[in-house]
Amino acid sequence: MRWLSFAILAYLTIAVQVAMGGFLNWGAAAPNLVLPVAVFIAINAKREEALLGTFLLGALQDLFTQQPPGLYAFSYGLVGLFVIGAQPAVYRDHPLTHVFVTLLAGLVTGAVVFFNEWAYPALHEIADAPKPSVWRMVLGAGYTALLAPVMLAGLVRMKKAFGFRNQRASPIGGHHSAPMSRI
Amino acid sequence: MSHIRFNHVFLMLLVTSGATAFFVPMEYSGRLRGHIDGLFAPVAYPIRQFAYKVTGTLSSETAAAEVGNLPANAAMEIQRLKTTIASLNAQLELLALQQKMRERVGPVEKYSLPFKVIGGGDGFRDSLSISGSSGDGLEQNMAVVCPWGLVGRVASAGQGGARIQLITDGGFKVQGSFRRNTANGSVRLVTKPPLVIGRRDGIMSIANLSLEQIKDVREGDDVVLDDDSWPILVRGLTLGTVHSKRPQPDSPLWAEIIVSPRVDLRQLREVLVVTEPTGPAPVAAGPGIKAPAPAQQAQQGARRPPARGRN
Repeated sequence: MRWLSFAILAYLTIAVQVAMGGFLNWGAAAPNLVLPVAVFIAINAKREEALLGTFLLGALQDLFTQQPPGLYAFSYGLVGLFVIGAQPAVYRDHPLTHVFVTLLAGLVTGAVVFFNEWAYPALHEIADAPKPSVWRMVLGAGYTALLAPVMLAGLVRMKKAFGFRNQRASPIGGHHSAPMSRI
Repeated sequence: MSHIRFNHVFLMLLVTSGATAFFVPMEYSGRLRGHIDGLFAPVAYPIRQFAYKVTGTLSSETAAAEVGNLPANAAMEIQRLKTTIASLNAQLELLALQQKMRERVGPVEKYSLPFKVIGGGDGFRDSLSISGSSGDGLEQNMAVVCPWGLVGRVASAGQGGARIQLITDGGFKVQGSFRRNTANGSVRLVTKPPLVIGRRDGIMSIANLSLEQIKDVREGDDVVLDDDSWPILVRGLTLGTVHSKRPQPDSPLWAEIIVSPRVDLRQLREVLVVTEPTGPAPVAAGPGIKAPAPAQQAQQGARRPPARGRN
């Protein structure tokens, strides 16, 4: 993967997430615009690059949130672990793949944040901390999943700019295999 | 890098980040923030301005003036003056008891610096990113205001930017009082001091009063800051208005009052940070942030540079 392209993508994504904070909310649901990008990286990049890329995206997002630092880095690292395991079995460019994988990633991230909001006040003896909301977490994950195909439609067309490795053997019954490059 | 070696490194990164998120207090780990926010402003700020135009935020701010057919500028000015008058009334009551503070009475703007808002929260927390930094004299726990009242406090300020925790953020607590605008001016309602707690999604609630204690409180009454731990300059500023009141589901004799700010604080364009307070820094901290010790507060008051304007 070309890390310069990744850095530019990360910069733009974080900037948009910061700028649109408060404008895209729909009731209690707030989208996480960085998550579809993390899913895009995790689906397409090689194993090590995918894990490192998702972790870095989370670490960068941690610098702009009010949650304890490290939370999103940890969450996106877990997301990367789950998604790379599913790489051989998914159609990487299909919008439904983007929706479902982003939904699962959103639920994983939401679960980690939910657990942190419950455990952190208990561990640090903070009184009157706000109670975490499952509903908020689920709605946010669903909202983000619905936005994922829209966001990733453009990124899929720019895959060459990221220099992901050649497609491996296609999923069962699929047609995405490309000739292996000669070494 | 071999598979096994990378796995070890990645596992270490995951464990470290997880441990930081759960076990390290935010007053230590939060020092990483506020250093690079400004790097994203060249992209974030124009996008946010575009979002303002598309969503018509200016029109919602005008509607908050609650004046029907006046031009937008006049309506905003009237609302600003109402807020200033209510704040000045409350400050005058306090100053009658404190002779030393009499010379510092005046509009909050004289002791504040304006900063543009370049970003918002992530959906789980109500916060704002502003264009200021520690180089502009910003420090943690400074009060932040706007023409419509109190906005919150500076949660973190570094070389690259600063973040504000809004009063509507979950767990943000301040003590207030009820006021009502009458023909004779802003009148304080006699009740037990309400504890206003942020509930996210742009609203706050009061849950420490019984239905009997708030029988005189009506929808539309103002809730203003009345907390000794905040600088005197900002005491009396509006937190919001009473949106609704009802019995608490678990304790029917106790009331749950929903308070909503006059405008959606998450969509503010500009805020004022009070850099020269006359009293201690606000100690009404949210989860994870502890208030400075009294000695630290005195040092902060002596260290702040003179206020200057900034666009």
